[in-house]
Amino acid sequence: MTIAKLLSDLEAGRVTSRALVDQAEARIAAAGTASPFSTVELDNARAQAEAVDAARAAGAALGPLAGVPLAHKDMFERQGARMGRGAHPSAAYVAENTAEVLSRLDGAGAVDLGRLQMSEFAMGPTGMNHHHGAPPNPVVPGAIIGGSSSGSGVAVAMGIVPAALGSDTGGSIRLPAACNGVVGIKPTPGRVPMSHTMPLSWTQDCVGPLAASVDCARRVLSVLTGGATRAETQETGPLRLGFDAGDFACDLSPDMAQVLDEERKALVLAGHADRDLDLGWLGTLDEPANVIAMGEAATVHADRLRAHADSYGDQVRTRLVQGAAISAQAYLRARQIRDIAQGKIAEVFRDVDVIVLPMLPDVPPQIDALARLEGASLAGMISAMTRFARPASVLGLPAISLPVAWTDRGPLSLQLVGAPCSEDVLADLARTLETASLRVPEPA
Amino acid sequence: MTDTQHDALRAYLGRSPTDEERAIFEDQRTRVEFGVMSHPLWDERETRTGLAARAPFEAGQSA
Repeated sequence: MTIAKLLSDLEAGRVTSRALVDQAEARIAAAGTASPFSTVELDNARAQAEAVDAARAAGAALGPLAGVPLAHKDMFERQGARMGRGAHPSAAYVAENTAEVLSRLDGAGAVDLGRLQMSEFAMGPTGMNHHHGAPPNPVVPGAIIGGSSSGSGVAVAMGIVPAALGSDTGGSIRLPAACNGVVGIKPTPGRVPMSHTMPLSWTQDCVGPLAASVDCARRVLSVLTGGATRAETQETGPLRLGFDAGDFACDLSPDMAQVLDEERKALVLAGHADRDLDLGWLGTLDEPANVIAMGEAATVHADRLRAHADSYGDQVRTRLVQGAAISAQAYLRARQIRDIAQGKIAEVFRDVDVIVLPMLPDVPPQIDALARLEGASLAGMISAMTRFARPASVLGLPAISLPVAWTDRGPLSLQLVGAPCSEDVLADLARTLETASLRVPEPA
Repeated sequence: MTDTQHDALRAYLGRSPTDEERAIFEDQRTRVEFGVMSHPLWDERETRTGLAARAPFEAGQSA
């Protein structure tokens, strides 16, 4: 299901938006406990759909997402609707305002089916939720679904919606995108308004789409940015592409290493220039990124934690205690290190247009494999999983995660990272990677 | 963990920290403070205040 196909069917009268809502309702009901929704808001969705159908029938001008059903991570406020945030039920509340991102999607004619499951307070890269569990991975049996925008990745992969909003502070859009074999765009911080969305780490938080294709993702992103990013693909011309030849993009599975190599060759064949980079220093950013994220998260949660500490899941409370341990000096030094690192990456982007990285070191890990680990081993596996996501977050760069190959163990996803506000170039390049025509021909 | 740190964590949690929470706090404080304050990129900064580079009691330095 793509937005382009849905719009084509709607415009041709082959389907109505109201019928699409009914189809989604049936799919959600059929999914049962595997549903990724935390709250289904069908009354609101039907009202929106019927209004769009009526406007279309009357020949009125329609927005770029008119009649397209979407659903979103449970952290965007809509006036009068329940906001769950993946937390203990006592933390839920009825919103008094509507997030600007939802207002923009409403203005574009999108239909809002409801809220999707997420990691507790958007903390947790595996997608497992202490309070609510997690739906199964719809494309890789037994694998984690990734987090924290876990339900968004699942809903798109199940084909219930062509796109869903997520948020990304340390990989929370890109990781579930990679685990569920869909596309995810983390925009440049500040390009998408954050009003009335749940904060976690205010200097790194971003809102963006998870989607069935690059085209779907950029159509939604264009609405979110108020047209500051293009909805349409353009030819990029030759780009300068950087690949790590240092010790950052290492410890990859043989499958991922092969795919990265094949894609590099294919991109060069397509006319792009490749260049080796020494990006080993990106691996040193984990600590300052974590200090900034957890220091800010500990501040965001201070009031609630003081009153309701035991309503938090163990892992989230542990991370907040870690955040509380960070001194003002350590937090500010981490910010200073980020400034230095942003200067270094700006120099890298004088030589290349896009950095191509793996998104995960391999296919998404199996739940059983994680469950067998504990202590340092578990922390090491989670660290390996988030390793390639961290730099774009702490450096404030846009990034796209997209699947480029499928194995019998699951999807393999790459990540394209660009300079601030380069979302259009990233999406144009991602679109070419998405096409089957780029496969390297077999040797004669 | 110092009494001050214990009191700070107690205030943050709104209750006395468990032994495990005290251990997490101490580990994080020690490990992260060291990791960030001795970060390798710090030596690459463009603007230095000179505070670390100038020994205060060397010859030629005076108040």
